[in-house]
Amino acid sequence: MEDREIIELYWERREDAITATAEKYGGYCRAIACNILRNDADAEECVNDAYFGAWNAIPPGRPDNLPAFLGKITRNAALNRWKQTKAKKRGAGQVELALSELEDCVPAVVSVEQSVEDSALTAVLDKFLYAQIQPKRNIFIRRYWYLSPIRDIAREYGMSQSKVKSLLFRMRKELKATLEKEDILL
Amino acid sequence: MKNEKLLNAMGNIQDELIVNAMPGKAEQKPRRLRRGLAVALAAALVLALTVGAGAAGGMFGGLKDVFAPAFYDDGTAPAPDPEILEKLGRPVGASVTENGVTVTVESVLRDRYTCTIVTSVKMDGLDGNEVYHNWCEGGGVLAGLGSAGGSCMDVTPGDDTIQIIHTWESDSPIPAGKATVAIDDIVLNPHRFLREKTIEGRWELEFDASYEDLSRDLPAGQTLTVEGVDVTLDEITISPLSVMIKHTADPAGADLNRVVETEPFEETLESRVQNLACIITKKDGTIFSNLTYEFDGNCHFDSGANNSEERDGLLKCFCAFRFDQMLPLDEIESITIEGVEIPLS
Repeated sequence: MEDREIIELYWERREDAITATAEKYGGYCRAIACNILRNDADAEECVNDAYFGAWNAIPPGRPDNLPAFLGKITRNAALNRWKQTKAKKRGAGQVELALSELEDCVPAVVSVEQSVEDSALTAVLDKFLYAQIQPKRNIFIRRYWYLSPIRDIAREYGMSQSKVKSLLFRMRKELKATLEKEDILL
Repeated sequence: MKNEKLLNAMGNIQDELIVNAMPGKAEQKPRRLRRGLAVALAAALVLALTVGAGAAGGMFGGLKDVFAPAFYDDGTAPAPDPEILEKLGRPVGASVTENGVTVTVESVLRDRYTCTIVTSVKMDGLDGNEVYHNWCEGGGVLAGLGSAGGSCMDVTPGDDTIQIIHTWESDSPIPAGKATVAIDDIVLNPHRFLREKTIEGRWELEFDASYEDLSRDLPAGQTLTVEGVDVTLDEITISPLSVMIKHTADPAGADLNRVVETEPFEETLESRVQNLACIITKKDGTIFSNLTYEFDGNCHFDSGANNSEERDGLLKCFCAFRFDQMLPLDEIESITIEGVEIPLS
């Protein structure tokens, strides 16, 4: 079913909108949640939360890009659930690893100025990512948006894990330099 | 936490960036499996099936279809020359079933230094998985060549069958005649999921891998420099399927672990002198080049291998690259290795 047809089902408040969403994007959403939560049951609940979120958001929303919209809801829901499970000392996985890697990108400058707004930070990230050649850009997004394990990225891109790590290391250094150049304070 | 803020900000990047990086988007080409898959688990049931030379060739619709998974077809790649295909390829069609999983060697396509075997795995409910496996203990793979590079692809969605494309590149001629594929423990990884399921068993198949050697040995002995290291080309062999280069590098005390930039990645000096830059120019002006990566469009080198061995202070190296499409030798103008052009005419 085309995405616009699925969105129409939401607008008509038909429950098969959820079925159609699950059929087309269930695996995609579950993969995002699994990467973050490393727990099938939690991931499944999270995906259901995402469907519910979509049900509540459409209407009035009419997303231009349904998979990105669903992915964002799922990612946010999974990260929120990860924070809860982390408090209960559960759910060790890709988020911790990704967070420790992203420490490399935090500018060293210390300032009392107000830290940058999330939207401004995202704008710099967009600019940084668009400046990369496509495979590098996608690999970075796979790691830090999808929270995909290095092993999965390496397998999918036909690269060794060490090459993926090396590539990400260099990109994190580049991002740090970019943030410092843009006077971005986290 | 500052890094958590960064992770959250990543969450709001442009939709287009997210969708373009979706899992599975990199599958425009068959994905390679890891080299050197783990050896077998113990106590697997052994089944073997021997198939004579050229057996079962008639069960396929046509040569092109049988060998299609061995090539990368983005819709623009030329169809393989059937006359060359008949000399280098062999339909096989040998199957064995164990624990509800049928493994079939569909075809073998090879030249002197490389070999590609298309194997299919069929079982109920297989669609939506990616599949890999272990090699059986003790090898048993193409006369002891060892484990292969590989990739998997679903040629026909909905038929519960997935193709695994095994590729070998060697620095010595791959023996012709009887070959064996012996694999252990099919591993299913549901697409985009992290869970894996292993179906224990052993699937062993023997088949004929003879071929007509269409390789051409090119003039060698040229000297060149790679990152300050003197290199002599010892042997250059090209066929419609691959190019293989043997060369000697004299590091002269250079630190072989030094990291050198080879955008978009980095590698050690040793790896760099093994992996010579190679451009094949066709008479129509198009090129096959390993200076670009497979996502750039001009690569056309579907898989490759490189290695080196130190002898008397020198590095005896080889690198071999398998093309992603058939390249008839009469269509090639020249091959350029690290800037040294060698005409084919």
